[in-house]
Amino acid sequence: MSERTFLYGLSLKWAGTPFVEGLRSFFQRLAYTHNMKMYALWDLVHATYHVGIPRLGQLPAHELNGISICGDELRANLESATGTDLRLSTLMRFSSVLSSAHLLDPISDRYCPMCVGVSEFPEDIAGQLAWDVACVECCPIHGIMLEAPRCGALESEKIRARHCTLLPAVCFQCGSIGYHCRTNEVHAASSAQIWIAESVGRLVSMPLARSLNLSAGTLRIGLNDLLKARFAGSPVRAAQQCQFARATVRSWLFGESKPALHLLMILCFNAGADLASLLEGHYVAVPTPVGSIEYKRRSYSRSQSDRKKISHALNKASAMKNPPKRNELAEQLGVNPRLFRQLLPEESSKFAIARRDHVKRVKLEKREQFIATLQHTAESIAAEGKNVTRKRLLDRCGISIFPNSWRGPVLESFLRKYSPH
Amino acid sequence: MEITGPGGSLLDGNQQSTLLSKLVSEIVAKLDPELVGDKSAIPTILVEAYANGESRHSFRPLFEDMREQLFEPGITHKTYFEVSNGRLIANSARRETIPAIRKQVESALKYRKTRVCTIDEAYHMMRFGDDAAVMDTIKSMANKSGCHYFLAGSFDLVDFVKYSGQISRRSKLYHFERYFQDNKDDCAEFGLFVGKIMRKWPHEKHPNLRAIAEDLFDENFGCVGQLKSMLLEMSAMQFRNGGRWDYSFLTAAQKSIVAREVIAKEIRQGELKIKGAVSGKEFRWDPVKIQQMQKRMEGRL
Repeated sequence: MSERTFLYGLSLKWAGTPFVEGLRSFFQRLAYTHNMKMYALWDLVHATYHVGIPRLGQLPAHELNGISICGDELRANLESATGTDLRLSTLMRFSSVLSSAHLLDPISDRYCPMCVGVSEFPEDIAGQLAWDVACVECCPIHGIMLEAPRCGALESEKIRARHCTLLPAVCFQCGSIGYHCRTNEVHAASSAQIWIAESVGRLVSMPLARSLNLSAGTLRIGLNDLLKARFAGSPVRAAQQCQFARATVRSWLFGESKPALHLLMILCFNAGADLASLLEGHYVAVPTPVGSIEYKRRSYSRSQSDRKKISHALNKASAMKNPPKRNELAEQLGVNPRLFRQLLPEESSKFAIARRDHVKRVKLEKREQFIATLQHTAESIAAEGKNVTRKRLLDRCGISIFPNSWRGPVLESFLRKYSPH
Repeated sequence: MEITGPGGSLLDGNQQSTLLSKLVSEIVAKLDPELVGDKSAIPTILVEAYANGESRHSFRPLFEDMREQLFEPGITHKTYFEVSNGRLIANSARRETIPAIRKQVESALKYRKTRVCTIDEAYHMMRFGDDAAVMDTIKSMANKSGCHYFLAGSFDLVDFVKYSGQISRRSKLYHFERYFQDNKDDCAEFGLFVGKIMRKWPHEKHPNLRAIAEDLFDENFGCVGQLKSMLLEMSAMQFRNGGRWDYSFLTAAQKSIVAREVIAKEIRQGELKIKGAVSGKEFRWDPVKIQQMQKRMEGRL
């Protein structure tokens, strides 16, 4: 029995297809089948395998599916815990040819409204790896735009945080399976968006053995092939047609940098090339729809600066009763927030102190308000002739307390000191 | 599936469990060889529906034993998930209720690809409540997890099968019979068994019990388990006598007349109860009928 896996041998859904499940979805389903919440399973895995990061929240949720060392470490540990090969569930196998920058969409849990509504059983629905890729904006099967989770249920129908579950296709706020609580309409995707989704689908469905052969060398061969076929061998011409900076494509060919996936997609769209084949070293022509993919060039306006204007804004913010956050102020000014400390260290630290004092004041006010609420609620419970207990207080106040919340110790301290009048 | 027989018909308690476990493992290995190499699978489990002195039990201890046999991880981290009106609600406060533990067991049986769950001393489950409710629970668990259940125990198990058509339809009853004195093969085998035990006799001085195999057969009703208990007792007496054999041990190891009568009565009643209920033994279609059916199927009639 010592050879037995620690966790169930759950299989990865739709492996080898464009709809392959992502690692985060697999982990969530694994927790559900073990009758555990996701973070409880994480604590167990961390305690057993001593994974590098102690808290799952330290790693952005979407990074599990991307090119990240922590995500890969978790994948390896889950493989040994379940006996399931999970290399197809992340984009790590493309780390030799793709950059990790701008690879994944920062909104995790994007979903296709029609794909998730197929089953009433939560364990049957999986979150696809492609849904997390930033350049994928739609579902290639249904031709509709992916959506970020947004609960449309009434306040009275929403459930407490402690009753919620993190599962693909289950609303975190009301528990609706398949996001039937959504109220917004679906939007049709354009042909170009569907083309991109299909291309990424072909990429993630690449067999493992083939993806292990990918390298910077194969990418260069593929790029050269493509340039010869479509751009007369000129990387500058290719960059200009795609509205990139002139040296972008050249840097992929001769430099150390790896291309970002969304830039490669634009190049492939303009050249009518299959992305997966390009990475393997061949140019394979595929038909492209009518239309174009817009490439938003970086404006660099946030790197420009007017010292006087910034200094005035910082001093004004420092004197305010409720100073804004640093990033908010930077956005108002249209500059990079790092410039504050770089250009004006004194004003910047004065602003930081003012902001810190404000945050302290707000926290103190919240704490006092919380204690006042507890006092008022405790007195009303005592007036009914009932004992003032932790559960009764929380139920009456309509509050949930998370394990690391500041409210926990405040409540315990209140209960220790409280005595009815 | 139910496996039944007279008390002590096979072997003593530990060896019965070992035999059951081995038997079931071999069956599963033959029917589903892929599971043997699957590290995530636990193809068979064996639990005991033990009695603890109370007049009524619940399924909780049985479920907890099953959960332990399935090496379920993170028992203190569990949550009870409920699906109602298309919504999924997690309720950690209910994680140790019987429905929650049952759900954990069903999940484990399903995802660990457990093919057979053997419940030994299954007649103790009669104290879990209404027989119908007990069998309905087993039936429902079998449906949900896709696992087969072997219930092993004494003749009282037959009552479980006979209570409902649904259970009768889904189950088979197997009887590990005792040896019968009017059967020559049984007598020979019983004698061989006495010989096997004598080869392992733990003393220098071996009594020639093989010569009185017939009397031992009669004394123990052809039940090997009872024979073994008797011989163990004789061996213990020989130990206490400094390794010297004494023929008074034959008398001392005998059961009292009253005890013997009770055992004989139980065996008779049990074998009467089981008549017509055992799979593969007695049939409505006799050989003549089968021949006629064969002719009709081959178009010769």
